[in-house]
Amino acid sequence: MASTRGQAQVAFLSSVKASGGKIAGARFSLQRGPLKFIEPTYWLTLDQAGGRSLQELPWTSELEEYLLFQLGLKMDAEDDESQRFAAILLNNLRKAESIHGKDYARAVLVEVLRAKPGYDLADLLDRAATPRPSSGSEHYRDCRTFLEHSVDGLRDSAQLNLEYGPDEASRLMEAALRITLDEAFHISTADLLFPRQDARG
Amino acid sequence: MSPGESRLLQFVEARLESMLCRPAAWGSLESVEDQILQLLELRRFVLDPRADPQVSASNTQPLMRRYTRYISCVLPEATAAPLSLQLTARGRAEEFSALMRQFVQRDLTEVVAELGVSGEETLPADRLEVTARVLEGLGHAVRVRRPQEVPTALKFPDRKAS
Repeated sequence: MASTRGQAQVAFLSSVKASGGKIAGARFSLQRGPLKFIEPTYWLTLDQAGGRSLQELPWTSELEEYLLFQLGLKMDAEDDESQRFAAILLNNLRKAESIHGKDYARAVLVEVLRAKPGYDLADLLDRAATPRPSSGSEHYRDCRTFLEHSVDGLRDSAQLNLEYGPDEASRLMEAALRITLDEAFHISTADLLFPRQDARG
Repeated sequence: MSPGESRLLQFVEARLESMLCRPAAWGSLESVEDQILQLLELRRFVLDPRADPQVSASNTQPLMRRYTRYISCVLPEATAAPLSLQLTARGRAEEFSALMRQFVQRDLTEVVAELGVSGEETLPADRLEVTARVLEGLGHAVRVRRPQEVPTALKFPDRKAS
């Protein structure tokens, strides 16, 4: 029996599939906005014996594992896909923050991304105000390995599970990483809070 | 924001919530009102990385201006006396918690707005720091009313795409 919201979501979608239904459409949004918390949400169109219904499902890691690894479900739009990838990255960043501390995990993320020149993130990385983490500890190795594995693993899954080509996967990852940095370091929000100064450049 | 400052903000929000939920446990209404106002000054001080400790410690004017403006909005013919006394004199003491809660929320909104406006001449890195503090403050204000779940990591299998 499902004991978490994610398990209940997976049980529901599995039962739809078992009874011959299918997911006919998939949208996703982080529902971002100034001075608000993101609300990552799936909107899935279910087709059951010709009848269609729209299901709104809050993002959970269990639901994502099911949709990504078991069903290999793509989003209908590229922008939705990058937001979905950002939700995954932000979730794993939060996990790292809960273990290693917020500032430390974010500093390690910046270092991980600086070492990946394949993504065009320089403008955001330069604005991510964070100290350089000390790199000699086991703490550092664990955090870095986890975050690196999250970024590389997601890119590999985009190709292996969702069957995107290498270029498409790179483009989606770059967009997702830009959103992740923007959310983690509140860059767009800072621009909104200080509009006049930004207008002057 | 340092872990210590973050913990302090967390404490301030939790104490404010406790005082607003159970004012009687924290003393007379007048005493609770004073304590809440002190906590709000502390919250504002932590949220603004540019605040000077000496100046902030001796200057209660910004908060009191916001507070008296608020009291005059919610009480017709308000005086300069503490809200708790004015409510008690009108036989409306039971409204104290609701009105103070409203002010605690409004004060955070006004502080956020003020931090943005007064940041016109600050350096870009300071602007990001203010923004991070504001969001941290809002986060604590929300979290104190909604316990945060520890996220479950999405685990990727060990394999490589070509």
